[in-house]
Amino acid sequence: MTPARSSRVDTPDPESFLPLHRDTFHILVSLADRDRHGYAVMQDVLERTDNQLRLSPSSLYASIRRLLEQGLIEELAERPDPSNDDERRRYYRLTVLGRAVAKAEARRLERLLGDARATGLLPRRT
Amino acid sequence: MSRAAPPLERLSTRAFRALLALYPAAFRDEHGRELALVFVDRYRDATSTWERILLWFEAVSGILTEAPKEHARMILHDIGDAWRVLRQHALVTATIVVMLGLGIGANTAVFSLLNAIALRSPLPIQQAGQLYVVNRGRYAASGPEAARLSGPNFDLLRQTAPEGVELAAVSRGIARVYTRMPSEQETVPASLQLVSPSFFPVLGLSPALGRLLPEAGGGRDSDETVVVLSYAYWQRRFGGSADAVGSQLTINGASFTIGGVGPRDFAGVWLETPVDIWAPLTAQPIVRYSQSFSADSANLNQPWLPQPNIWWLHVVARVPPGQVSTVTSLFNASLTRLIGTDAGVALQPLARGFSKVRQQFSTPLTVLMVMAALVLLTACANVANLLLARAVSRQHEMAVRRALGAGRARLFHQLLIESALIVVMAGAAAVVFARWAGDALLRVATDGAPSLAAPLDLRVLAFAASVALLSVVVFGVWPAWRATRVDPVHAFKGNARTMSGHSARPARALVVLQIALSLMLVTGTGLFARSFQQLLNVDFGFEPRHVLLVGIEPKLAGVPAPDLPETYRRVLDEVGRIPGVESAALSMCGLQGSCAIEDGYRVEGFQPRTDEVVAFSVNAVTPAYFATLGTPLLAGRGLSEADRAQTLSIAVVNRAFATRYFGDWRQAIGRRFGLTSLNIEIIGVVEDTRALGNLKSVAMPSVFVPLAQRPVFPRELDVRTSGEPTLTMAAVRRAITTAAPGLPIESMEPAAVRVQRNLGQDRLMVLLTSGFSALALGLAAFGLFGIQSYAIARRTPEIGLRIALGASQSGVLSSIVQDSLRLVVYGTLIGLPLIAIGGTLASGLVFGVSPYDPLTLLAAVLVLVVVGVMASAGPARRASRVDPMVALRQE
Repeated sequence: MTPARSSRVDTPDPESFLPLHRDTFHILVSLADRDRHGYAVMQDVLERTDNQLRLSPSSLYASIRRLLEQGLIEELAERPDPSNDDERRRYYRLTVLGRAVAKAEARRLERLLGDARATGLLPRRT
Repeated sequence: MSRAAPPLERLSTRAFRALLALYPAAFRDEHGRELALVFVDRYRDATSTWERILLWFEAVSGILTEAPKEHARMILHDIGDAWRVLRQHALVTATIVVMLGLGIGANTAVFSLLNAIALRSPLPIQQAGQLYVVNRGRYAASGPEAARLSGPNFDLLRQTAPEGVELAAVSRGIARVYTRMPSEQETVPASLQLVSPSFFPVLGLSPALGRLLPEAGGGRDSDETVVVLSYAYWQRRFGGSADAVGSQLTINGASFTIGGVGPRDFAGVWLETPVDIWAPLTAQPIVRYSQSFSADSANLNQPWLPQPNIWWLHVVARVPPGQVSTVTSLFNASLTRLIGTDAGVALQPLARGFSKVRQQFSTPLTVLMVMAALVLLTACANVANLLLARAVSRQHEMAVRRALGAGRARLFHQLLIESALIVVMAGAAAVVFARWAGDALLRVATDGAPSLAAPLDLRVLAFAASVALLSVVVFGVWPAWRATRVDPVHAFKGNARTMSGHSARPARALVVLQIALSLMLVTGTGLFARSFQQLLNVDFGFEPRHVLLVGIEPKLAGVPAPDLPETYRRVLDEVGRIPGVESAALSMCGLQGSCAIEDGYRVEGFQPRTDEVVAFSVNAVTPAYFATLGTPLLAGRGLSEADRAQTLSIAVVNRAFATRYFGDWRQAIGRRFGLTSLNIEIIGVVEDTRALGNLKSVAMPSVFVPLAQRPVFPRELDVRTSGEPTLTMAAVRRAITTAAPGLPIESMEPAAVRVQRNLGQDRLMVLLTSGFSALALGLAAFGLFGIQSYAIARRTPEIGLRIALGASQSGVLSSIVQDSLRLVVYGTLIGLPLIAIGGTLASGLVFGVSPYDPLTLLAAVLVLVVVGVMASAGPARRASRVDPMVALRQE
């Protein structure tokens, strides 16, 4: 195997994932500050979007499955959720790549926002 | 802190878990529990019944949208995996695809033929299933095409038919006529069929333009000068102009009015002979129709329709469902009353139309279909063998995956997807192959009949798909089952990478099966090849080389009847003067088409049984007929110019006639026969000749009378040339035009070409079965080679040991060849009873050779022995060169 090939396989370019699907980005953002289990992600997204974005469990887990496959998040050992009950939950955490991808998407959105301000679409930041 | 859930929550949770079954197992295993937990969380967080209903709605719709996506993703993923595996084994994959492609392709090609010829419903008729042909019991076995009734029969049936049952009559034959529009000088040939006015209504057809045949006063009468054009003919001849309707058209010299144009896509009920013009039955004498009839003491020069003893019509009935048996017995009763004996009526379906090709090719195609299936089975056996071998080599991989937690069902699924992928590729290859082969075969089979095509319609594609699917089941399931039947612990013990003695057995059984199937195919090919050779060498009773056959239509030449003999003499003289022409003769019928069978005769000294009809074919010929064809005279004299209308009525008979009625052909000379009195004296006996239309059938009892004594229209001119007959064709055409201007020449070709063409069916059989056998033999050889190579690779240490202990190279060699021969013997033993069954199927198709011909069988076994030895020679030589030291070290 040539080194070039192996490096490409091992660390994909975060930019290659962009733009992210809306739900995907929300899940990554939700996992950015701490590890959460699935329901916690749903609740967090709901809270941060002022009840605007309600992920359905089935699409959430389809996304989680895809993110796991892409290596953007990883599974942690199951552990109880202290805030809810003592049922053991599976927690997820951002991988290094996942964090890089989320950052890249955030920067992309930031640039876009900047453009919107520059053209007067949004008020300029004071 | 655990607490007992309320009953409704427990029930809801359970229902939700049940719903999760819609997901693929892998997804469910991974995320099912979490999904259920989230559901429970949300259920508990819900504060009202309304929220819970909403929750349920969301859960169900979510699963219903996501689960199919997950399934699709899994399958795509598996296909990707399978594709990778197949590419890793590109050579094996390509081999399998080619083998299966050929196998499925051969089946599809033959099926597309069978579909085009025997299965497709080609008539664009509404509720064609209600249409039946009224046939007499005595002709029923020959199919609806053989049915024949007279005009009065038709009338009687119409009167008998109950309410709701409608009848139509059509002439059995389609006549070639010459048409001319008022603006034209030359006549143009067309095909014409006579039909009753009820024909189009009974078939449920309406005109594309104008009207169809008008009925004058009901019954079979109609305005006898109105004709209907077929849509294609209208397009061709009139350019689709609406002005055609109402215009005049001269047909065989008589003037007709074009009443309308038939529906698009309809060209009559004979599949291979499209009709251009439909004329009323009453027009029979006007267009001088005289085809495809049998007659008994009838006057053929009077209109046929009222005559009870000319059977020239097909009667078609539309019978509502459930009434067939009632109508059959009604018709039977009325015909029986008319004829006096039990007529035995049968109603035979017309839905698939009339087809000579179908009559001729149904059995051969069935045989070919069976053979193609055998080839596919052989291919499947090979593929199964390859997959089994690969399964063994993949045991390690399977064991690893099992140990990593993949369920057996999952692995089985994966392997089946690999097989399915192979089959899809093979199926695609097969359809391409079949498309090409089907058309080619049809051309060979039907000699390029224009109205037949072997399209790849839905039915053919469905057939290919189901054959492909069946092959997956045959070759894919078993190896997959075996491959996944792996105990990880056992598999890791090392020796699992080679085929153990136990697992070699199914592979050997498959090879034995292949040998049995190949034996059947090779035997079949041998039979057809020998039959074909017999046909090529058969004594036709005439010498086809150097004979030119010319079809003429003097009826339409416009020559007054009294001048006809003089015209014939001029034609013969003129043709005889061409350099290179040895002799020429005219005949009423003969090699081109069989003569009419006439019955009601009495033969001197012959006492028929009570139910026996004395019938034979009668031909009227000029004196040089036998010399021109090269038919040997066995006894007496031939016809001469001295036999004239005023002299004694004489006839030459063939050997079949003489033997049939006098026991010994030497007794025939001087005997008499005749219709009312014994007025015709037999003066000579000639050798039997086979008809060009059916070389396999034995000659019919026939008599030949001088054309001078029987004023009929000769339709065949036979010319014997000293050289290649094609070289004189232009001169013959010129001579005819000079001697009889306006005499239509319908066809002209060397008799040998005609013979070749009529061997088409047999050539097709030999060609195809040879191809099939070669394919099957190749596959069997490949299979044998494969398992021997495998066995030797496995036995290398053992062979090394034996050589080290003093076994000779030749001993090793022969032990392996012997093993192959053992398989050939087993295969033969299994194949023999199968051949016995197949023989009965083929018995009608072979000529001059028994379907159980021991010589052919022996040859086939020999071929397989040779193939067996050849296939194992390579591996055996390799084995005999095993270096004992290397082999033992390997252990």
